[in-house]
This record gives sequence, structure tokens and C-alpha cells, in this order.
Amino acid sequence: MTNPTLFRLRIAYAKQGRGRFLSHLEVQRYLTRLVRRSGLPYAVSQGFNPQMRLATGPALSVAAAGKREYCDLTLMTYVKPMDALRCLNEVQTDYLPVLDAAYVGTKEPSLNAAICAQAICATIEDAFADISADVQPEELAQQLQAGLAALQARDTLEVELKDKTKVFDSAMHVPKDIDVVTKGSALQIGLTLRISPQGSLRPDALLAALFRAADLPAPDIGSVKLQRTALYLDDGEGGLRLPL
Amino acid sequence: MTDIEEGSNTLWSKIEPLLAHVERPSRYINGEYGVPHLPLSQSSQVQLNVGLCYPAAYELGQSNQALHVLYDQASRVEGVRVQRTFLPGEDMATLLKEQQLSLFTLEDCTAVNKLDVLGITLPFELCFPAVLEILDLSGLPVRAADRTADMPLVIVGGPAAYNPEPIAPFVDAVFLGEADGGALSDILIALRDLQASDTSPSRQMQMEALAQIPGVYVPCLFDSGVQAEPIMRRVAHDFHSADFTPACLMVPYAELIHDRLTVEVRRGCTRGCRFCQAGITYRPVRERSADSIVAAAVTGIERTGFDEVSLTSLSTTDYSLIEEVLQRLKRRFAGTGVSVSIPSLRVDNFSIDLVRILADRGTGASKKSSLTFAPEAGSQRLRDVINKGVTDQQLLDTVAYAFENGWTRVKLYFMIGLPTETDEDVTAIGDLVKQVLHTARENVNPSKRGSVQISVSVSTFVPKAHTPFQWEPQLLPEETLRRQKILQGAIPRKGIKLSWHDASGSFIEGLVARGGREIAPLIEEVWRSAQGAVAYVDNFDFDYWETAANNLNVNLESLINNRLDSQDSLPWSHLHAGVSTDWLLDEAAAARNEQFTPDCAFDTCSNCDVCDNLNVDIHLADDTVRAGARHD
Ligand code: SF4
Repeated sequence: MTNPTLFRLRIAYAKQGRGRFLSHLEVQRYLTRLVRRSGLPYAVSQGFNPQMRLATGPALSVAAAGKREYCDLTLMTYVKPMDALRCLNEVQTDYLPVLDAAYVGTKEPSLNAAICAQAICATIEDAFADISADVQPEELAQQLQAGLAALQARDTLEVELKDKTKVFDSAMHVPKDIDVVTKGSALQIGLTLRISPQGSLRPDALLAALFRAADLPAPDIGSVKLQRTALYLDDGEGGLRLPL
Repeated sequence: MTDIEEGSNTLWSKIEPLLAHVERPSRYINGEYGVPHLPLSQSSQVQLNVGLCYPAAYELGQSNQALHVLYDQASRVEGVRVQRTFLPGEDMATLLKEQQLSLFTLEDCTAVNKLDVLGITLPFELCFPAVLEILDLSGLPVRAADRTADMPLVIVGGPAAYNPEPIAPFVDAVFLGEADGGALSDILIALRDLQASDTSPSRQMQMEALAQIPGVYVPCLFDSGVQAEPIMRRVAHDFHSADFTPACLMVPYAELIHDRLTVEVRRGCTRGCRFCQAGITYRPVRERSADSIVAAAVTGIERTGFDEVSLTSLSTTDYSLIEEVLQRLKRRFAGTGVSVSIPSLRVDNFSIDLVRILADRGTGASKKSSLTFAPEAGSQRLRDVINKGVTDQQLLDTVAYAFENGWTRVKLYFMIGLPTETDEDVTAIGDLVKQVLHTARENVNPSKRGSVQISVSVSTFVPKAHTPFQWEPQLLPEETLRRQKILQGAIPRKGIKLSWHDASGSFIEGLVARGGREIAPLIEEVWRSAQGAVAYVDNFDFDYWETAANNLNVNLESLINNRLDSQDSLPWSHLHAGVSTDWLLDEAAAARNEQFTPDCAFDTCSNCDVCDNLNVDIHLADDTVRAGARHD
């Protein structure tokens, strides 16, 4: 049952710089400590071991940055969003700065249930190092687009995990298009992936499959910088909207 | 600003690509909340670059309370830049070696070999090979004699520094005692001023400056006779009176082994267990006031955002105002989800009120968590020998209280191999455990009888330097195994979870704990023949030591100092922990006569001489507790 006297504050924050090496659990731990430092009147759960009522959005993997991530914090009293933002900003670290805060209805579905898509930008430093020196940037882009078309043509996409193989429906999970931009020796790939409770295709798995389908050597994971640039909710009319 | 400014000495651009290939990269990224940031513009004002190192992984080292206190104190010394470094994960160590990169500091990501001073805590004897690995990973020769003046001075301290001879050839200086309360600043100021007066002081000048500081032992100067007097341990005279909330309270991203705020409420424990080194090396008891503890806990939680505060000391339930402090904190943190915990409980002062406070919601000691008691020996006779003033009845009463009040689990610590132990004493552990199990089942709510769990952890006695048992023999592995077998037969199988320390691990611990300089080549060979791997093992691995002994053609059993005589000079005779040798001998005699020596914090002084030698006094938060005590 929803308590009518509680308030749900949606907070947008970034995961950046060296902070990209934090795990989702570490980010969650950071957020609860941040809230406690901020002095905001957070609500706690019932039970013998009361916990702060704070729920984060979909996990971002270790080494991936996030331009605008979200969490929902339940407050016991109303605090103006600008004041809440100021309190949080005063006690944050450079790796996980808070960007924005606004109230959402307490009856709205949770972030994890509502978020249905993510936009990813992958930057590969020295992308041409492992590829034949005479490949031109335009050719590389074309090759990757051809790789994407090959993935789309398949019914399914198989991804090897540690102890099992996961099969994704290509029509649902392989992006319709990708943006490929070259900047000097770096390559930037932008794409949007679906997030669903039944399973989401990880950006690094899609990239590996894309390079393989394009007949290109997979880049070293240490040279790929992944950034999630946006998370989206279903707007109920077949389109996407931002959570905040 | 989205990242830390990169100075010219930083290795970050080389370390960053490695992070995708290692476990828990958050260990290496710095930037935790509360870590002071030094703007590049101020870096030219740094006169002395100091690294503080804990020779284990980040999650263990960053949990270490002393590291926080020392970091805070060092950062207050003008002209000093203090940084942290830890033993990296084995995966990172391999990459550093492959890429020929030095171990680095967290704050500036500079090579450890570029520091002026490297201070290493020695938490226990078996970490010594890890110290060598840290030096090697930093591109430094492991032997002090092979290091030059442009390399960092290596200074060690901490609990395992009270017999530093086995590690002496690898370090430049050893600090004995409590480094807070002025000692650390004395060391840093001396080195900083020397640096300022002469930009490239020789190693000899640095050593001589260190040797002037009380509590600092410089092995090479002692060997050459320049430092002659016994080195007396130092205490923090202002421990109970100083404002002790650190200016920089660091809040990690990574999950630590002890992931909470710690507030040290009391230093020293004079219960007088005759095997216990900490009971000697932290004497006498000094307690902080209840007000200052509550203030430190409240401001600490506000400033860090932790959800738990642990009130730490060698024996927190002995703190004279423990109930008052727990009640006040419980009221203060009600409804916030913040809990208060204490690390261990004592059988003999575990009051029913304390059970009630701890069982209450909001103090964190959930009934689901386990209670821990350490009777140490099974028979009353042997408990009298070791001065553990606890009776079977006290233990059983405490267990009855606790299980009546909702607990369902208890953990008991025992030791085998204590001086004068017979097979009957070993069997007595089993008898006592049976009674505890029976009492627990009788007193627990009948619906929970099935969840009663008694864990029994048995270690092997290791005689330690500076204790009344320092002259006693220790069991060899074969005999330990025989007694473990007796114990196994005496402990009921159902309802008891029995675990024990590896017999060979205790043997090696004892070998190093009472060894002299002759142990150093063995430590070096253990590290060298294992190619550093010995530093990363979570559990003790005897094979490394056996291989090293074979390589050196020595028999490990012949190296153990097992027959020490009270007339002999001991490897640590030149280091003074504050207690007189006469008192240690009196205590050793009292042990043989099964005589009890009371706790001088609550009873009469037993004349150990610490108070006079170190010019310090007992200080209790509640003065009335000592009203009847006589202090000679
Ligand atoms: S000198 Fe007396 S009072 Fe001081 S620590 Fe020793 S026994 Fe206790």
C-alpha cells in the first residue's frame, strides 16, 4: 500500500571519469551514503533491519560511464527539488555528480520496470591499430554497417556468457541503425539497445558480434570506452521519453 | 572538473588501460569521498612525499583504523603530502610486472619509488613476505643496504613490529608503539626539516635523524653501536583527551572487510591474559569520555553517510560507560537505519542490560548475528594458568541470558597448546562446549531450538615477545595434530561447527614471532622462490615455506626458538614494551602456581612498571569505578 505522506524524488546523476570503473553495487552503496550525508529526510523500510528506500535504474557495467543515470529516493517530508539538489551537490564526489532532481508520482512504476531502452556511445581509441593500415575511415564505417545488416538478417543472436549461451531475438534486440564516426585514430559508434525484464543485450556483446560480423578484429577491451548517453521510458504511444 | 588533475609524475595513463583486465578496479581509482585533493598549484609546496601502506588488498587495508588516524595526522604536517598504497590484487601485480610499471600511490598515482618515505603497517608476522613483494613491485631492492638515498626510507610499525628482527634487514627503521599523539609528526618533521636544510641528505643523515626520535629503532645504527640504549615504546599521551574526530574521514566506493565508521573508545586492556601481546603493548587502559565518543559517532555518521558505527577497542564491553554510550547512540540513531555495533563481547561482564540494548532494534546487533566469547581454555585450572578470570558458570549464565533474549548462535574461541596443557584440558574443551549446547537449547524459545548453532574455533598457542609466556615452548605441528584429534573426539558432532587453525601455520607464525635476524634469509627465500605468490594467498600455504627451507638447506624445526631461558638475551631484548622483565617473570611464576592477577583498570596495580616507564596513567571514563583501587 502506498503511504500518501511520502514523496518520491527522482535523481539524475552521472557516472564519469575514473568513476566508470565502479560496479553497480558500488554505485548503489555510494548513493545511500550520499543521501545520508546530505541530511535529506529519507524514509526507511519496515522490518528488523531497516534500509533506506532508494531504488536505482538498470545496472551499468564496470568500466562503462553514464551521462545521465537515475535513482528514486523516498522522502518523509517534502523538500524543494532545488534544495535537495543543493544538499546532494555539497557532499558528492567528482566521479558521481548529481545533475537534477524532481518529484514523480509515488504510484508510477519503478525505474527498473519502466526503463525500456538505452543509448550507448562506444569510443575505441586507436581503432586502426589492429586493422590493416590502408583501411580508410569511410571503409571501416561501411564495413561496420554491413556487419549490422548481417546481424539483422539473422533470426537470432547468440551471446556466450561465462557458463551458458544466451539467445536473443535479432528483430527485437539488434539495433535498427548505428552511427559510426571517426575522429583521428578513434572510432565512435552510437546505438540504441532495448532493455527488457526478459533480458537485455549487453553493449559490449553487441559490439563484439558487430566486429565479428564485419570481419574486423575485436578491439582490446582496455581501449573501448563505453558511455550510456541516455535511458528511456516507454511513453505509452509507441515512442520513448526521458525519465526526468 | 570530471576527473583528477593529472600531474607530470602520474602513471594514470598507463594504469587506466589495465583496469579493464583486473578484478575490482575500484581498488585503484582513488577519489573516495573525504580524500583530500591537492591542487597541482600547491604541489610545489610539498617538501616530503609520504606513502602509507598496508600490506594487503585495498578492502582490508582501507578498513584499518590506524591507517585513517595516521593519514589524518600526517596530512596536518605542513609541507607533507601523504598518500595511500596497498598490496595490489595478484592480477594487477602480474600486469605491473609485465609492463614494467611500479606499484603506485592512489592519490597522485605516482610510482612508490618516487616517494621520500614509505610507512608500512605490520599487522601480523605472516605478512612479512608481502612487505618484500611491495618493495619489489615498487622497483626497490628488498634489502635496505642495497637501497640508495634517492629511494624512499622504509619505516615499519604496528602490532608485529615488537619483534622486528626477522624483517630488520629489509627496512630502514622500526617504530615501536602508538604513532598517533605526536610520534608520527615527530618523524615526518625531522625528515622534512632535514630535506629542507640539505636537498639531498645522505641515507646516514636520515637514519641518524630518525634515531634521535623516541620510539624509533634503526637496525643498522644499532648494529654499528650508534644507537645503544634499549628503545622504549611510545604511547599517545593525549589519547583520552584529544579531539579525535579525524579531519578527513574517507568513505570508500568498494566494499571493505569492515565497511563502517569506527570509533575507538578505549585503548589498552589489562585483563592480563598471559598469552596476549596486545595486553602488554597497549598498556595502560585509557578511555575516552562518553560525550566525546557520542559526538564522534554522530558527526562521523553525518559526515560519512555510513549506516553503521562500530565502537572499537581490545575489549569494548570493559569500557566503563558502555551502557550509557549505547543507549545515547540508540536514541540518536532511532529511525535512521543506522546501527551501532561492538566487535566482541566478554563473558564476565556481559550484563543482562547489555543483552537487552544489543537485542533492540537500532543498535545493529541483530539477534540473527552471532555472539562471540573467548573462554580460551576448557578447564578452570588452565584458565587460571593463563589468567582468564572466567568460570564455567559465568559462561553458561551468559549463554542462558543471551538465548533467552532471542539469540540463536554463539561462537566460542579456544586455544590448544597453552603452557602446562594436558590431554584432560583438551577434553575439557569438549565438556564445556557440550554444556553450552545444552544450556542454549534449554533456554532458547522452543520454536527456534532447531536453529541453535554453536561454532567453536580453535587456534594453537603461539608464544609472543614481551608477554609472560615469551619463554614458553610451542607445539610442533605433529603434536598439534594429535591434540586436535583428541579435541575432535571430545566435541559433539551434532549442533557444533568446529574449525581450527592450520597446525603448520601456527608453527611458522611462532617461528617468525620469536625469531631473530637468522629468519630474514628464510623470509626472503619464501618470497623469492614463490615469485611473490606467497603475498597473495588468502589461506596459509606451508609449501612455500618448506620449499624455501629446502632451497636454503635448513630444517624449519631447528630454526624455532623453542627453548628460551629467562637468563638469555632474547632477539627483542633491546626493545622495551614498557613492562619490566621482573614483572613478566613474576607473571610466568604466577601462571605455574595458577594464581590470579587482577585487572589494574578496576583493581590494584600489579606493578608492571608501564605507568612509570612511559609516564602515563590509567584513565577511565567513569572515575567512580576505580575508587577502591590502589595504584602503587
Ligand atoms: S603499572 Fe600498575 S596500573 Fe600501570 S599498567 Fe602496570 S599494573 Fe596497571
